[in-house]
Amino acid sequence: MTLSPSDATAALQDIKQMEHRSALLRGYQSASPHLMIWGVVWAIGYMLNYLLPAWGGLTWLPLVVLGVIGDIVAARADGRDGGLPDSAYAWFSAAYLMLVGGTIAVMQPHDPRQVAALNALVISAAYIIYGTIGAPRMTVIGVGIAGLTLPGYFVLGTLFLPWMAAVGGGGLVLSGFWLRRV
Amino acid sequence: MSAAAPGGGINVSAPDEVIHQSLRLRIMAALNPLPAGEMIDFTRLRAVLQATDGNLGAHLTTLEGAGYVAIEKDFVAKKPRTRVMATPAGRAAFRRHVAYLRTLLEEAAE
Repeated sequence: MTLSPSDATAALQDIKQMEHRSALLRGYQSASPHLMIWGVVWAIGYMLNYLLPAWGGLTWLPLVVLGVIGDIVAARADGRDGGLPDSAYAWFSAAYLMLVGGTIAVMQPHDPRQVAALNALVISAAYIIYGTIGAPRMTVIGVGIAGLTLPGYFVLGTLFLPWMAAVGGGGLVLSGFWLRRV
Repeated sequence: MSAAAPGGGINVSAPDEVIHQSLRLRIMAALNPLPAGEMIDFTRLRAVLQATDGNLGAHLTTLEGAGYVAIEKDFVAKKPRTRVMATPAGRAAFRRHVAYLRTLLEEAAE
């Protein structure tokens, strides 16, 4: 069998496209359980914030610990090493904690709704940025979360926290299912 | 079919006739980025490739015959499941074929 240079060019293009598609869909599949886990954490956390306002941020401590454990278990099930699921995830978590924690320390919000909105917007920004470098579904998810957070914050008043539990948490869970789809 | 050259080098003088067929090439390209040893469900692979059941099954059988993919069939919750992965020999053959294509283009450009 002999191939012409144009055959070779076409074949290499096919290979590049298919490898990109396969790697992208594999990446979505890996991210999927993490979004579902944090969707559940958000749903429970914001509802507890709404129902038990006196507990303040304390309700989040066990939830965040459970979320991180869930992340590690999901990463192991996905075939990645335990401990830190991967370096990208560790860097993302560190940057997220620094951004949200630093902003809270500087701005000193007086209302849990402000913290909830800040948290959702930082996550949205991270997804949008990540999406623009080659994972378009993440951009859609980030825009969706931000797009639901802002009107809820300005319109719903005291119902903003249950709103975030439903559309923020629920949205992340649904996004996780969407990422699993080819 | 291309083969490992004597001494363990890569023989890029000929295309791999098993891999070069369009869908088989795309199958190997889809399996190659997955972690070594990871299997992918037949239905997911079919969706990734946007291929039909019969066409994909036939070409997987050819690749399996060449030792380039491994196919496992089992039952999950009483439902049949077929999973596929690239073997080390398949990955090596795919790398050789890609090297051949690149060499062909380089030689044409000279």
